[in-house]
Amino acid sequence: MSQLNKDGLAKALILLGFVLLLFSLIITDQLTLYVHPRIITLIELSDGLLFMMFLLQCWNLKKTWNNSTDEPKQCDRYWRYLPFVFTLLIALILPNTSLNASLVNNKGLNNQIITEISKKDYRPLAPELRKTNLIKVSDNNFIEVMSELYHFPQEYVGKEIDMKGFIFKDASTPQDHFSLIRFVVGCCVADALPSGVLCEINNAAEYTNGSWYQIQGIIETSEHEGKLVPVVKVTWIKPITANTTPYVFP
Amino acid sequence: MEIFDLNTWQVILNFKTIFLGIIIEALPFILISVIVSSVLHNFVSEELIQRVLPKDKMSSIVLSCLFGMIFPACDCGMVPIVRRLVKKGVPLYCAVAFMLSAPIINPVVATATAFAFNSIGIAAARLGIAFLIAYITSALVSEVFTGTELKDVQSTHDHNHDHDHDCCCVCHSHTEHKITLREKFLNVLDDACSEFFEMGKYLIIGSFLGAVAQTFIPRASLLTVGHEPFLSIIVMMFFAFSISVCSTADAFIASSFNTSFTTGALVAFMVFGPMIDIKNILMLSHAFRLRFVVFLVVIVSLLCAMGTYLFINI
Repeated sequence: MSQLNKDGLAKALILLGFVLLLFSLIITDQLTLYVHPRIITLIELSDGLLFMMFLLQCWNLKKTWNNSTDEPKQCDRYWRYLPFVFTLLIALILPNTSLNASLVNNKGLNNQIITEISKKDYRPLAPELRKTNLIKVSDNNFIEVMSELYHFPQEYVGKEIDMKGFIFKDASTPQDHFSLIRFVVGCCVADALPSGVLCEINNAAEYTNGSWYQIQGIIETSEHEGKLVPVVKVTWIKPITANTTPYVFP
Repeated sequence: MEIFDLNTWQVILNFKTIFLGIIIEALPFILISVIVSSVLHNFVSEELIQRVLPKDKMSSIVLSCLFGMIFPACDCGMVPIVRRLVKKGVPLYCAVAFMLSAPIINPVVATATAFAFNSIGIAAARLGIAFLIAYITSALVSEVFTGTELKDVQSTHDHNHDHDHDCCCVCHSHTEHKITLREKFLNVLDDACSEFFEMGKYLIIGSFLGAVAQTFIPRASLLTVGHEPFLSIIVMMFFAFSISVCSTADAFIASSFNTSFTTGALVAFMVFGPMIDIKNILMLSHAFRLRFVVFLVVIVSLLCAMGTYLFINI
């Protein structure tokens, strides 16, 4: 009697699940919610490979269907597939989102973070920033601008700045202030680091953690735990929808 | 969504993002690894490997340590290759040297580290200490273990049985009848698939634990010990073990701790993480005997702690 090979079927279904998961993330451009763009090609190749494995499993299944010789597998081995099924379920049930503000607490908003990445005498942006009066912060220059601001805040006092990010406040944030934050992702979201500047605004309490804003303001400095740090005095603020690529990729 | 308050819901979403992020990021590397392992299995003979390896033990260890230079591998996918190499008759100590050094001593990681700290010195320290640890550990392994230390033959038998079961007409007597390239290709894919399922579950469990550590260990709690020279090294090694990030990206994390931790602790973080982390331990203990895994973890931990401690005190 022909007997469906259950083990092979489980493998084929799981492979199909992963193929579809990756495929849907690729066509909806949502991979950058999870990994750095430079890995995307590798993921696409992986998806192709998984699809080939799936086809092979189906082919094997068909063969065993036609001339089945083996007994049904013992059931105690199915726990092996639980982790895969669990992953697929999690991916299916919970929506794809970017990291949100509640993680900032956990990662620790250490505003020194990015500054230490670049050495102090490596200042590619300094000449350009000195000339301009309005510093426009984009995804491409985010890290360099933050590095400049934190190392040499006094050089930029009085200049205007325009940047986007989400709001973060906690118990240590001074009154009438919030931080405007971006996550910097080096490889995948596991290594995301929050980074941003402190902003001063009268009605700071009205802004909720995690909502995205574009701000313009004047750069000032203030003394924070013995160090001179930049503070942006907000002159203009507008709610925006979160970026399609919510992270900054160095 | 009414059952959770907003904050719990956000924590759950972050957990999902990190969990899937680690898996998606590691997936290409584990696939490359199982394919390489499978190609080795189907195309490279034991005799060839024996011919290529130097006869002298110490020079073969050094060679294995530097092999990562031309074969950059991510630590996520080392174990399947290493297990295959040992099955193919590569001495255990060479495989260990390769496994410990390749994720660190390669051009990609060297560049990433130098860039993250903007310091050649830190990158050199990382690679140098990694080389010493890999060399000494392999030398010790070569003294202590003579066998392959692979899990009993039962499991390899099991694997073959599984394989036969999956496709009953592709038999394992490759050598007896001439098989076409197409069949070989299908064999590669099929073996890779079996190994993907075998190793993938440990990868997933490891990613799960890593995501739990990321979501629930507040980093501020690490900072309290940042400047204690020895304790900070231990804490950073434990942190590296638990968060399971890729060796090309961990330099950025380490540099974010730059102001609050000693350099020794940061180097320890960057050396220990790629060598030993949750994912690797799970896969290793699936492939190798427990006593070997314990030996490896203890030796690498001791060497890493001592090496980085000496480094900051010189």
